[in-house]
Amino acid sequence: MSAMQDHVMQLEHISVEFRLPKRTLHAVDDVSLNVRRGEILGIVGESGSGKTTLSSTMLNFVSAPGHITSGRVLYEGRDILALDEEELRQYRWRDVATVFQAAQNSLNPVLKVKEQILDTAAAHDEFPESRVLSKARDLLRFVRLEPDQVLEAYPHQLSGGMKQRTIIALSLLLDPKILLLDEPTTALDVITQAYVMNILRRVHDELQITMVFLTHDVCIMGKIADRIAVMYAGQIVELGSVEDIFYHPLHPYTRGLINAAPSLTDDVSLRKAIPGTPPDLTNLPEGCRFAPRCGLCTDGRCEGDRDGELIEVEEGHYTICCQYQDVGA
Amino acid sequence: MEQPLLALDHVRMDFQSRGGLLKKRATVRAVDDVTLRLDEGEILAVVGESGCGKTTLGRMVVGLLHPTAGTIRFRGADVRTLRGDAYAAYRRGVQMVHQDSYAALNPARTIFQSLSVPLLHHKLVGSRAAARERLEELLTLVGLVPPDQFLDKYPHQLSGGQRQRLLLARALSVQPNLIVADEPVSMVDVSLRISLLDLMSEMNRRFQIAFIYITHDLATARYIASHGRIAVMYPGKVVETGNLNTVLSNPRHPYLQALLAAVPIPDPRVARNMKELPLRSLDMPDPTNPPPGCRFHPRCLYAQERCSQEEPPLAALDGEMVACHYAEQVPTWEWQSVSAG
Repeated sequence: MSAMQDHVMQLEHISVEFRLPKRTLHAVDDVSLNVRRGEILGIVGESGSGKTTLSSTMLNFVSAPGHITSGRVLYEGRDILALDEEELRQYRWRDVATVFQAAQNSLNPVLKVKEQILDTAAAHDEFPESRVLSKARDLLRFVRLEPDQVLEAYPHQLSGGMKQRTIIALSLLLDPKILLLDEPTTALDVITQAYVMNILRRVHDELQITMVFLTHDVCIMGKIADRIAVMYAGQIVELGSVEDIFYHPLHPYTRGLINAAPSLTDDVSLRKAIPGTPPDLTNLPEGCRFAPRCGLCTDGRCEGDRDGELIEVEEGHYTICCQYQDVGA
Repeated sequence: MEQPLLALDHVRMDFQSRGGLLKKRATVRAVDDVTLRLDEGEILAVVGESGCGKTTLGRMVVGLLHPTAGTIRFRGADVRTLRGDAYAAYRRGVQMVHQDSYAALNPARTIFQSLSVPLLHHKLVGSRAAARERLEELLTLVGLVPPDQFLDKYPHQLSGGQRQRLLLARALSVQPNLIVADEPVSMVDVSLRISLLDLMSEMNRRFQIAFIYITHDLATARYIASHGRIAVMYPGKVVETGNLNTVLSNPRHPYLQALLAAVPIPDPRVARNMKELPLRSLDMPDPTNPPPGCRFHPRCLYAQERCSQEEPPLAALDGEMVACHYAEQVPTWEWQSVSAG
């Protein structure tokens, strides 16, 4: 049972396909991933890497024409994919709450923040109003907002950063165990982003809530994540602690991603782009999906072999690359 | 001094907000008294947060907006007075690359149909066949090979990075002297950003095209303009400008120091030791009603009484220009001061 206590959520061999008129798009391909209780897990990947699709399986919320073709999603040992509508409705938000991408737009423009909070609570049978509102006030204060001002405001009266913090407070309303954050700071200014990240760190530290944090920007993960999963073309290509990922990556794509990000402190001449573009998900290359862009690709080893299993190289540090010994070189 | 390619002299841009039954029309001063110059072949990074007026500035430079006051000179001539061929030469000489490459291309036209128009309009080629040939060269130049594969496609068939390269090719096709690039990489995947920035640097070196690189991202600005200059904007104003490396290694304006402290640092050990942002408040000022005196004073850690009364001019300080009354007293910025480790 020790493994069960360790992991609040387990994804087992998840595949998600989108059936298009003439072809099938493999958005997520046989991905297994465990979320440890109380951790901040970063899922890093570029657009089309499958991170949002993967996270939507955690809510059994894959949008048509996509559907989960295989695998199980276990939350506290319970298979989420087997829940009926009513059970799912209670599971979402109360167990796993989400802050969506461009969350600033997920507030209803014609309702005051207060009304939206009460709606959410009512939908989940949380009463009475006075108790809900006093909790909402605490949460708004927690994300450093002025409750009296925000509760009576319509969304357009709030700035982008305030809306984002309101959404974060709202997501915590039902004491979820897991907070799923999909690019929560992407549309924000640098200063607001830094501020929201500090608030998320604080939310995590004080509430001991598990966070799954999706982003395309590996740079913002250094500050906040405990572990990082790197996705490429529908697979997890590397998984490890934040130190593993930044200080000794074991997949050439991870190394490339870190080297491709311009920073303020490094020598600019060290920055290198990853050549080429990600593969077409309806027509994936045989063997390693990164091989066409990879400098370490060797004939005979990287093509043809499609098992795509993660190899545990060090404790808790996995890579899909068979040439991982040469990545650091 | 040599005649600059572009000179902005006390440029101001006012927008009227829509009034209502009970609401008075308000004036938003998007750009307020900006003076800048750009030499031939130079790269200038204009950096600021959303709402600081950087895009408005770019749109004025390319002639899409006419300033409310002040003059913009292109090779010495006031662009408002240009007519006929001289005006056409200015519009051809200054091109723009937009942030949203999908919105910047007509979705109902093939790449060839879109990109051949400026060539034919400016009479740079004699025929459609010649346009096709010229475009094949240009696409090769921006790394879209083989070019004949792209010319007959529609914008939605290309990736974001490819479309952004097309926009660069379109800008290059009319042989401009200056390209205004407004957040050209912020919608492009991280792994492809550097190659686009490299491409722009190459255009700058090879063809002596000057660039105004507009961004909110100091890290990419540092990457592309490492041999150029930077202008940092805070609602409507340039608050610090100078050689990019000098400015970023020794930022003097408290706003720029805060902006630098907010840039994420990938290295986990350094990132986890960052202190709080050196700011008193998070909120940008209301653009219709900017605070009196220095616009940054309500958020500034070092503000004194004078800052709320008197607007600081952009003044020379150790080879840079800084708009702060107490620039000399503001503690010098060191990376060590934010990273305890």
